[in-house]
Amino acid sequence: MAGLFLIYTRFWGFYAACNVPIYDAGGDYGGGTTYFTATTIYLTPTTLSGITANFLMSLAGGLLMGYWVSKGDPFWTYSSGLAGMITASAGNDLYHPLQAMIIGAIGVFIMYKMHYWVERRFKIDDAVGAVAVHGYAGVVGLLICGFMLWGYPSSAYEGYAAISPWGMAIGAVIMFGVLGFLPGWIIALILNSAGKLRIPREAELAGLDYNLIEASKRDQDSYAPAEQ
Amino acid sequence: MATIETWATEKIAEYGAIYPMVGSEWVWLTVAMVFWLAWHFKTSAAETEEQAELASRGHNRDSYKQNVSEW
Repeated sequence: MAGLFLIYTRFWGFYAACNVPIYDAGGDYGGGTTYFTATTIYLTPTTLSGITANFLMSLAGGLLMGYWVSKGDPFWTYSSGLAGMITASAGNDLYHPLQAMIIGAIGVFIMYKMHYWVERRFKIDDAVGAVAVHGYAGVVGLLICGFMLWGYPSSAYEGYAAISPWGMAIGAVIMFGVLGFLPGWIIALILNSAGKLRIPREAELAGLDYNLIEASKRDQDSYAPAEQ
Repeated sequence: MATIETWATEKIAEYGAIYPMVGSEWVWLTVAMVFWLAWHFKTSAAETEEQAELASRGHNRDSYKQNVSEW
């Protein structure tokens, strides 16, 4: 839980770090006149206050939906706050705050249902929900962004393609498939061939933390009489 | 859906709101308010149901001790 809260703050730090606080766009964007603005990492105009508002609204939307669909489960509620931010992040420099909130909530709903569907259907365990929070919510966020921001300039410089659903879908395939899944799958194959992907079945049945539990019991036994 | 189509500086000065679907704010506000209110009614009902179920088990003031691990 504490880790998730740290990620919340880290995520806002990431937003702020991607914000160029002051930049003369005049020379680069066309027009030639001096125009100072804060920009995104792509040098498109934005404001830190704007993206902070959208950050908080998507966090709120994710938390609300997470609490609702998980029936108050703390782990999923806090993970959903993060997932809400991740869903809206693709367009949080341009969304209206209410759009960010609703998109965050939609992403969390899909993420939560996808997580348990994959677990039931394919018997794939996503123990800490990382694939759900980053993967499912991230893909949903890119696809929603493609429709919501359809036609917006993808760059401040002239000649770049405008944002489109197919462009965002291709980007999702590259990011999640080529750069994410493929290297992970290859590394997993290597680890599996070396016998390091799974612990031995006997150790799995005994419980990997068996020794820790036994040690904890011994500690308890040693100081419990002293307390009486 | 795009409200703007260029970031050329001679155009930026003319821009007002730049978010998508300018003019549909009431729709987004309505959806957000319905969601927010529904969330309160739904979660309130669920919490009441959960607490009523717990109360119906006839716990006493020492019941919590049964949840303490033996070790």
